[in-house]
Amino acid sequence: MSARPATPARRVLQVLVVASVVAALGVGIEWLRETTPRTAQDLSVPGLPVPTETEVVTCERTLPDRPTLPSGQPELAPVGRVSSTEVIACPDRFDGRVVQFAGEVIGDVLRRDGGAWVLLNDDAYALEAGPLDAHGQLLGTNTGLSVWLDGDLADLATTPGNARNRGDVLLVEGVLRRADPEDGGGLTIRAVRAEVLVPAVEFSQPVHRVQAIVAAVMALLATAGVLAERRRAARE
Amino acid sequence: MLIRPDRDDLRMIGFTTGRVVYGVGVVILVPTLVALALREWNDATAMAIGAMLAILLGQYTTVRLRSPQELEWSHGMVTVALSWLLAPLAFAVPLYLTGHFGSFVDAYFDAMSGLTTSGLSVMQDLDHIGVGVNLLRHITHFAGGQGIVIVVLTVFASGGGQIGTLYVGEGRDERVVPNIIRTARFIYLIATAWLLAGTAALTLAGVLAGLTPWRALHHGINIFMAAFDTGGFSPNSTSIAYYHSATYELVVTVLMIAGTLSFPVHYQLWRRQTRATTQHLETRTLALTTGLITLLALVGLVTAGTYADATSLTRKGAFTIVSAHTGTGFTVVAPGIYVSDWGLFAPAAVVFAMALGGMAGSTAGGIKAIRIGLAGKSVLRDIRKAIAPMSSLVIASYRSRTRRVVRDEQVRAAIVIIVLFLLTYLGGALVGVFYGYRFDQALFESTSAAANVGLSIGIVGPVTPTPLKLTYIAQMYLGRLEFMAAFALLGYGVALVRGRV
Repeated sequence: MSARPATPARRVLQVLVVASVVAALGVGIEWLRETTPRTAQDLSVPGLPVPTETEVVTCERTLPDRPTLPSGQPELAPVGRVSSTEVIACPDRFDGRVVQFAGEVIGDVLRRDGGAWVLLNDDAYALEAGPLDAHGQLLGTNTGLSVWLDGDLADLATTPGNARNRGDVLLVEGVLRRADPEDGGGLTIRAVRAEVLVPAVEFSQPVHRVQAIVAAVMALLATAGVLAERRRAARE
Repeated sequence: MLIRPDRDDLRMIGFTTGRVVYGVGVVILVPTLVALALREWNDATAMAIGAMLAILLGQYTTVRLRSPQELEWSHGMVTVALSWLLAPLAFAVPLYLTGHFGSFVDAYFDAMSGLTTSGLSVMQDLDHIGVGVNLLRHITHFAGGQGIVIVVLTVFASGGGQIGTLYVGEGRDERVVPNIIRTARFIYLIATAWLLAGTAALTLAGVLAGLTPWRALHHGINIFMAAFDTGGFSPNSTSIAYYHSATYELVVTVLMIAGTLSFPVHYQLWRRQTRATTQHLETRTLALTTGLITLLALVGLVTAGTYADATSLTRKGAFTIVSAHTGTGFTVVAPGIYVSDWGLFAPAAVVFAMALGGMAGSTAGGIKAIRIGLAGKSVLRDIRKAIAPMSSLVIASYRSRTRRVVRDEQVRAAIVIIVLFLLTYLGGALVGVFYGYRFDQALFESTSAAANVGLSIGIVGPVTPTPLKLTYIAQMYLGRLEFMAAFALLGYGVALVRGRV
């Protein structure tokens, strides 16, 4: 294939064509994203206990005024419902305290040793609006705490949250361990009481038909291109 | 004098880059088929669009820009640099279409992070994504870790000579065997053997941890790709802490270490040359620095009062240092815990481990053990020279595959890259400070990005300012290519504008 020499006008035209294609692709992708159909299900969690504190207190081990518990008092007065954000921001404030924690069971229920480990997320996708694919609102990243459900409590967690379900939402009460020696130093809650606030809900995400059609057309074009290229290569 | 590249040069670069983009499209088809099989329709069509865009673009460029010219050194470097900018674009399209990213920059951030085996992520609601998209994320580690350019071009190329120039560009300094195709094939062999063994071990550990067999396999495949390719993505937001299992952490640790070993060392182990492996300068340097930094981190954690027992210190402290030093970035604590519960000294040790990185010729990032070892040998040689009689000839040697003498040119090259890495770490930290973050925390995040590690202290997230995200993207890119290919691309751009015909 011999190329024609590039004149300035031809170069400008080439740049314009490339820019137009890129812009069209960008607009198309944005349009596809914006037109994604969503479910109309209400996935909020009613009946949540009011959090004890609304302000997150941060602390560091290097700061002189970091809050600590008096030694020999592992379980002080209950502190009510806590959030994962405030616990992670200052684990020392809650170490050894009885806390309430509400969250969605996520991913898997790891049953073993007569109980189960669960990850309970208490972010906006878990407790307020439901999973992102259901509504499309971007509400930040996931946050949660690990909870050990002993004995029969483990049976309360039946359906974890994933791409198809908003998992069971549990309210647990238990002792918060900043560095749980039975979990290799993990930040955990050892639940002594638990209840299902809201059972798991399966949410259906409608099929994005336009996106499916675009994908099919592009697949046909690509297949045709591959076949044409193979035929050309065979001829050569 | 700068010489302007001619049309044939550009055609050659466009043609080769097009082949790589085509290959990326084929790679994206794998999770697309998985999503289709699992009836995750919207994710499947999103990934199909990304795959087809890459395939169509690749087809167009390879047909239009076919060139009889041989690939030269400069073409290779520029092709690598361009491919590593375009491949994340192809992965970013399906990621963006999933709706889990606030902007296309965010999707590109995760794609670049995946391909460069960094593992930082700004994805939102990761815990509710489908199996197919999760596989796509982890496949970016595998594609990038094995060197997309080399993988794609050795699959599509008929001969090995012309792609040899691409090898160094991807940050792989040392060939396993002289023939580049045979080197690539050996890399596939090693990767496949580890894939089978590693996935099986992780699946078993997952079942023991309480996962169902199918879920254990799903987690096993993804975690294997992230561990062996020193990536750091994980199927859930809590990374390895999700499993609450010492066995799982042990298997992951073995895979992270395997991932950070260079392929020449794998070759020695494959041929049961254990003695040669233990004498290798990189093995010794890596063992020494890992041991020392782990000790420092544990001292930091004990003095801060974070952990009191040996099990916790090992499972949290030592694991994190191995994760940082191998360039993987798996976590066993939430990012905020480094700030609120680890004191200052232990996170500083983590930064140090991240900065040094793993072995050259592996998927790890950072400065690399060979450069640290060479610089150390050079310093020791100079000290011996200073105290030896003037007439004496002092030389230093090291063992790689054979015994070699430390040459000044080698040391200079190593020091240049060390300085460039240090400047990149500091530069990124300064940008972080500009946006209001504390210097220690900004340095942690910057080092993690530039050394392709992926541990986070909490700065990287959806709300991170876009210029800071772009800074981290540039750092991940530069760190993965170890600067030279990126500089070659820059030089090519300047030559196009200012060069003489």
